[in-house]
Amino acid sequence: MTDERTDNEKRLLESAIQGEASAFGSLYDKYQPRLFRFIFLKVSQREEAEDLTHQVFLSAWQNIETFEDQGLPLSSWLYKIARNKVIDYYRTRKNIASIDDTPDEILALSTDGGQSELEIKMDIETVYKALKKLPSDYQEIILMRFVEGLSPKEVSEITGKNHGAVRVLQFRALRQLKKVLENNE
Amino acid sequence: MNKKEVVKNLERFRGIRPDKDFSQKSRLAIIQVPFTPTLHEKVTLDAATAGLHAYTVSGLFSTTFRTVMVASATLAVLAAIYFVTVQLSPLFLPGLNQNGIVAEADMINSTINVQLSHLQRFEQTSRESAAALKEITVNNPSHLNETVIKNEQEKINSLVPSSNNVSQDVNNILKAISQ
Repeated sequence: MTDERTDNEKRLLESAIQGEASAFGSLYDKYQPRLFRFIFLKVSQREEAEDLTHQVFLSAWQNIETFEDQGLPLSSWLYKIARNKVIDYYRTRKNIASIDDTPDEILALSTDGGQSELEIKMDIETVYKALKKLPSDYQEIILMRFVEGLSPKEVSEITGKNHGAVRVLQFRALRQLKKVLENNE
Repeated sequence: MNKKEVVKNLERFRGIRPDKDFSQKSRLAIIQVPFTPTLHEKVTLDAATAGLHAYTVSGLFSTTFRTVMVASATLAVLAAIYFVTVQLSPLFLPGLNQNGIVAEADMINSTINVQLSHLQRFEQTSRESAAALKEITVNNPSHLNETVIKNEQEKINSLVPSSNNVSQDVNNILKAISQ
């Protein structure tokens, strides 16, 4: 099943590289929600996240012919573009969202039972606020590893850091997050 | 909150979704962008992701250098046009008598007109001569008939005294004078 899916994606990618827009459209459908989420959690503003997500896929489409030169899986390539768009966004923009404000998108997240809904929402908000207090590279690795579910290898490909550095960074980021949460409690 | 709970809460962020309307519009806008593979200009991954355009060496040649070359060529053409029209034109030579040039041009013009009228007359004459010769050869005109010519000769001879008679008369006159 996984091989089938991989083969299908490979075919779509080959067609997209040949300039077939519909093939790229299918890849867009698959990856756009993930990329949007990743960008949104970095910039915390829906409109900005939408704009950056659009730019990521536009860049990808315009440079799809150079994709093979990068030697990366498609997802890693897209995350890498997104990551650099966000870095560029923070470098140039003035109106950065306040870390004290929790976006409606976070507050509106549905819960899956277990605890009371209110408790879960409060926990989600607490974790979100703690996350936003972390340095940018700590936020990034936590989002990639635990929200996006990327492997250390993929994170390594996206960030350009070696495996060991990724593991160390992840450890430190989680420790820092826990520390921030403990201080808030 | 222990580590497991923290990770579980982080996983709940996966519920964040893009707006469907935005996704559709963005998708449509992107795939409508024409796919134009470039041979020289390549946006490298790092540059593309940083929102910057980077160029390969050949890309640099084909864009910046090409732009400079086109601009230089345009300037050279404009300079050449200026030089030809302004600097080399006789109308702009210093100390030039423009009235004299106009008069000289008129004179040359009238000479050319005279020569042209001569040529036209020569042409007309030669055309008429050719027509006459043609008529002679084709129609065999009556005034060239041998019989007619002979008759005319006889008429003339009858009207004009013969040379013998004239000589006789002259001799008689001379004889009378000498006596």
